[in-house]
Amino acid sequence: MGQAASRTASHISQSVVKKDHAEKMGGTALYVGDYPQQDMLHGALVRSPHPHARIQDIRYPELPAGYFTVDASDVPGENIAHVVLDDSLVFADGEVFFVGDVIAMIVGPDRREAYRLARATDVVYELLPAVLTVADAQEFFFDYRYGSGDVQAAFAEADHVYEEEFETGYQEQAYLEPQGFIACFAQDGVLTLHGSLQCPYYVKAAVMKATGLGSKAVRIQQDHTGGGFGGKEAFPSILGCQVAIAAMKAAGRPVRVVFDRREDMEFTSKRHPSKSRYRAAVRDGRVTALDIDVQFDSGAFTTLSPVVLQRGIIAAPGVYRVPNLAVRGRGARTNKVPTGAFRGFGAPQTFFAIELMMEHIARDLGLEPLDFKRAQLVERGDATTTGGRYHFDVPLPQMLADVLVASDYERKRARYAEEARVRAKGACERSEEARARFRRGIGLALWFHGAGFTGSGERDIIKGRARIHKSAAGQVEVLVSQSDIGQGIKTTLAKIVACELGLPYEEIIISNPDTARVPDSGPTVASRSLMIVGELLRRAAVRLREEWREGQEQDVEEHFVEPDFLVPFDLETFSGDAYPTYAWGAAVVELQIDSLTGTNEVLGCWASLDVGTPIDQAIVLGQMEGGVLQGLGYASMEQMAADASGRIRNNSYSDYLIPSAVDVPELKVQMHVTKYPNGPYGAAGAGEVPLVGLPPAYLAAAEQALDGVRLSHIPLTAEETLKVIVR
Amino acid sequence: MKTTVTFLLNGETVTWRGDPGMKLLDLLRDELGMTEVKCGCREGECGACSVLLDGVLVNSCLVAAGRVDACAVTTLAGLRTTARFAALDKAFARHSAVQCGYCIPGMILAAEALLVRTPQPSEAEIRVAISGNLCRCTGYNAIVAAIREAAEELAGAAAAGAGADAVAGDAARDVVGAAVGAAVGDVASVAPVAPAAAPGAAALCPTALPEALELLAAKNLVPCAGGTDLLAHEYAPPAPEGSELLFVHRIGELKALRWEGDVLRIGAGLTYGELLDRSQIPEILRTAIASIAAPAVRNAGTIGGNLANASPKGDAALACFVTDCTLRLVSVHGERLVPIGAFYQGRGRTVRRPDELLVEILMPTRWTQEGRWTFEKVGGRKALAISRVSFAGLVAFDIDASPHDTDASPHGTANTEPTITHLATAFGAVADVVVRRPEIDAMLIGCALTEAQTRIPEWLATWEAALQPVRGRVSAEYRKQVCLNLARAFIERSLS
Ligand SMILES: Cc1cc2nc3c(=O)[nH]c(=O)nc-3n(C[C@H](O)[C@H](O)[C@H](O)COP(=O)(O)OP(=O)(O)OC[C@H]3O[C@@H](n4cnc5c(N)ncnc54)[C@H](O)[C@@H]3O)c2cc1C
Ligand code: FES
Ligand code: FES
Repeated sequence: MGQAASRTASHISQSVVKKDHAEKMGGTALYVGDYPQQDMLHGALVRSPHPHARIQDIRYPELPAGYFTVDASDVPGENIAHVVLDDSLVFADGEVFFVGDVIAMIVGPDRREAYRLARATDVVYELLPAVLTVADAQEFFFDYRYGSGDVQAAFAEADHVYEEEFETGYQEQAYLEPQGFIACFAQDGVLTLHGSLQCPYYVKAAVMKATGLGSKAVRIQQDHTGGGFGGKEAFPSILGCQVAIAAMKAAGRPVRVVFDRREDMEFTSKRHPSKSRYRAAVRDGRVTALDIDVQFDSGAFTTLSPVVLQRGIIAAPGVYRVPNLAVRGRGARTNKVPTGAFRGFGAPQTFFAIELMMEHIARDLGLEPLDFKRAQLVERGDATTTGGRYHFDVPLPQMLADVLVASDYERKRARYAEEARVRAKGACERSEEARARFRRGIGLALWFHGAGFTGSGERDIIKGRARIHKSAAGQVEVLVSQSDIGQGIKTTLAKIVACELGLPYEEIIISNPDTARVPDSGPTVASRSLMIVGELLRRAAVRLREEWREGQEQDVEEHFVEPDFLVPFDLETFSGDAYPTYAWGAAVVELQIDSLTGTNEVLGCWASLDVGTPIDQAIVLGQMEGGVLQGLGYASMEQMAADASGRIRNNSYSDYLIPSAVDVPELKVQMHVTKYPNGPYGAAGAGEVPLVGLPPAYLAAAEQALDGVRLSHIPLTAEETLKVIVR
Repeated sequence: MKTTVTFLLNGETVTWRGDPGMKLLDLLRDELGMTEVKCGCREGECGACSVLLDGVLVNSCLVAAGRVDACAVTTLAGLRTTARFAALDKAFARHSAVQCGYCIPGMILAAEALLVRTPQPSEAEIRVAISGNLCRCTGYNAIVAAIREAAEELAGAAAAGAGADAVAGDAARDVVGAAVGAAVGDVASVAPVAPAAAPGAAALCPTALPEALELLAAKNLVPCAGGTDLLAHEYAPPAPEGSELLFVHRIGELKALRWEGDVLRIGAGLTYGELLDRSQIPEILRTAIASIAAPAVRNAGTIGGNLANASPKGDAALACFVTDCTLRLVSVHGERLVPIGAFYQGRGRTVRRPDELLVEILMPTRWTQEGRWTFEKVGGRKALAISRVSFAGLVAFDIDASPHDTDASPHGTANTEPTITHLATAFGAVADVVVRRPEIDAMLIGCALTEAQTRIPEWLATWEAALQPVRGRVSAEYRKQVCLNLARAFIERSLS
């Protein structure tokens, strides 16, 4: 941290009016669906109704004047929608692999008519066998393994061996604004796309490949984006290619595709369902070894599965010091919608498993989970699961203490245990208490979230660049590819630059990114934007301050440099520092279960989160509260599944429920601050951590309310709860 | 069939010609360019499209364009200059309550609707007021805090400037008030569309019952009350080919609420919001209605629509079943009184003839006044939840104790032991129609308390055999289990 940083760090956290506040508050901010209609053509996608089939023929209906079709035969470049690998197609080519797989697009002046024509398109299929569950999977896209110590010996020497399986379901991002793009292929040969997205340069690379156009001929702009949460990380690369190719056929007219809610919910990426088998060896009251086998349901294409899976398995042993590890992770290929990024990125699935596993072991040993966990926490200097180091303070003990006090955990835990005892006794005596309708429980969970990309992605792949432009008149503009999807990145980045330059924050210009104007500072993902790009900008601002020339136009650019303390990460062996630092979380959930109906109600939720220095207190708090509520939804009401025909029927807000304002009125978040010296003013990664550990805390509470039953999957539905009660 | 609609949009008169069954949302966004009205679901489930209709919060995706004829519509754009908006703006900024911003226009309208009526709301009231406005970003805390802070600031300003009309303004209410007062057509049309010229160009919006009945007799019409069912189905137009919508919200006879002895006559066209504002309605009905959806849906949806749409999940319908309501159907040929049990023929099917209107619901209230009742709704969350199972029960005894003191435990001797004079139970969301079987409940009627207690198992066993739930969002077994649990809890509690 430089001098300037320490000089200003104390007030960097003070909240300001967000850069985009006025236009969003006043309703003038334009989202992709808001651009005026004149001249606009609308695209409707023809999708497969089958999970796996060969396409024998595509018979388009007779098209009215002004309508045209787009399909694989129209792809000018490669028929590939590039994500991490190249297996996703722009349009199906002879075979479809999931319900919703895109075969073609019908484009024309009237949206409804385009949809009607898409529905009227007669595709002749030969049905092929489909794999719909991970259990039936024949093929795994990825199979990673890593480990440490001597697992076999540890199991041989164990006092106790435990084995359990855990499952998690889909989670849908359910951002309020569905996905969409507008593309226009102008006469000058430049193809411009703008829409709802997180990563303009991802879209650009994909569109270049599919269209065969060069870098100068493809321009991607982010519109105001109504939420992303990971859902607009990779998927826009696929939709972008489809709309781009349609625009190339549209003779200069703009083509828009905006999904309706059902199309968005059913056919865009969502969180990987998971199935994890955990075996634990325990000796002298401590976990000495973990043997973990994680399977994620990747759906039909790889999209982001490799990276989601990597993060998931690296987190699989949790926040505990376990000397012997054997971890395996696989991404199963199924004939379902490809799964992808969602806040937490693989870690919520495995933290769910390890936290409940620890809970169950503790109870079996007759210990309070709190004590059992607290005694085994990792500390600064310890090895990480991949043999890197926890280089900085691990603040969990203090955070834990904070949430215990805030939630009055220990007293409530004891009281609810007593209630359960009375119930158990009274069940024979049919006492009033035994039949009390509502049962209460309280539970906790601890977790981390690795900040930034897993492994050496920043150094080897992203190589981020951030620029500050100063006009001759002295106006300063921030030029980065970060997209503000609600998390406030425009505000926080502008604050950093303002702070270093000693300029009023209001005077710093920062717009939604446009690849024609901003350098590639990397995607807006992985809780990296503020920590990595924020620091690049801080350094650029320091330089600009030092090199400031009155009356001259200046550009200052900074490049990513890997911190020197890192143990280099090797993906082949999963060894080294997977992350430079971590965000930390501790949460307590208290709930009440209605024994007549099985419905669960959250009485309170308390979380302590450490994301380093908050660059804006209110923004960070808002991120934390929003993430925590998503985590509670994931544990409980957010239920989505494919049926026996491979279709997802929970495709509307009435069938896929997310929390409303009345569901969790008592939600309290406090911030703990451990400064990260390589982040701007001590900031680490904030975006994802709040969601990660809520499901196991929720289930731990439910287990107490349900008299210590062992639960093993989310979402916990009223129906399952009632089964437990009846049994 | 196109009709002409003239309405006030943010204080300016708009005349538009088109399909009266189109969503107001599409009219505002696509035809009039009011893109501050957001679209998140098109079926009433997110609140992003909220607007004020004659000052009342509604989801514009559930309002038919024809319905707004002669009404005042207020979008966020119509509030920007008000004092209330200024206070909200400041408070939302201070709390960074605007994240992606997509829910915000709807949130602000929900806040506006709240603050107009409840200038100093509690946190719980704020949460209820925005419970139909989903926000996926914030977790709601910042929004709730901001609304509260804005309310406090406005109250402070009002106190400081009491008497001066410019403050704390009812500026926003004035906008709406002026709009309603100005009614139709006195300002130049701002929309470049054909003025009302073609014959029969106005939407069908009768104000009196006879007129409505004549229309129904003459044409193939679909009555549209709140439209919250009719407009919620994206791929099923509210009025099928060859038919038209008949807007019934202006018919005075459908808006009446009056007593006749101990029977409450409830106008079918009363919205849930209007009913909740009336102190006279029985608590069981109030509880049922308060459990429905969220404010915007309650402000539009009507009790008549809840009965006529013949869904077994209707919450108001369940309250009507358990109280043994009678429905008054009227046509040009006369009227008939149909007991609620005889009204239904199956899911979505009733005995109503196409030329009949449901005009009133006659709710006997003797038992709701004398007895104990329960209304239980099992949904997936605390607002915006369709019943997965619902149960209502009503029981009364003849006891010497004051009939109002229904919670007093009847610890009498054999001589004074109370007798069950009435028992009614009803189960919702388990079959094609709400299940109400008076003959089963009759098993316990006339029984003295202790005798009734011994017969509970038999009563429950009969229900167990009678209930054959269908599978839906939850399994049939779950539904059955919950029904029996709730019935048992109700009867045991009532008879203890
Ligand atoms: C998001 C959402 C949430 C909902 N949540 C709930 C809930 O929790 N509980 C619940 O019970 N319902 C719920 N509903 C359903 C709906 O709001 C109610 O059923 C409502 O009462 C319908 O009334 P309406 O006036 O809007 O009906 P409309 O849509 O106007 O009409 C419904 C049907 O009734 C007919 N009809 C209406 N009035 C008359 C009349 N006077 N005479 C003859 N026929 C008539 C219409 O022709 C139509 O067939 C929900 C709906 C939505 C969109
Ligand atoms: S668009 Fe969601 S409620 Fe209208
Ligand atoms: S701010 Fe994004 S949905 Fe509310």
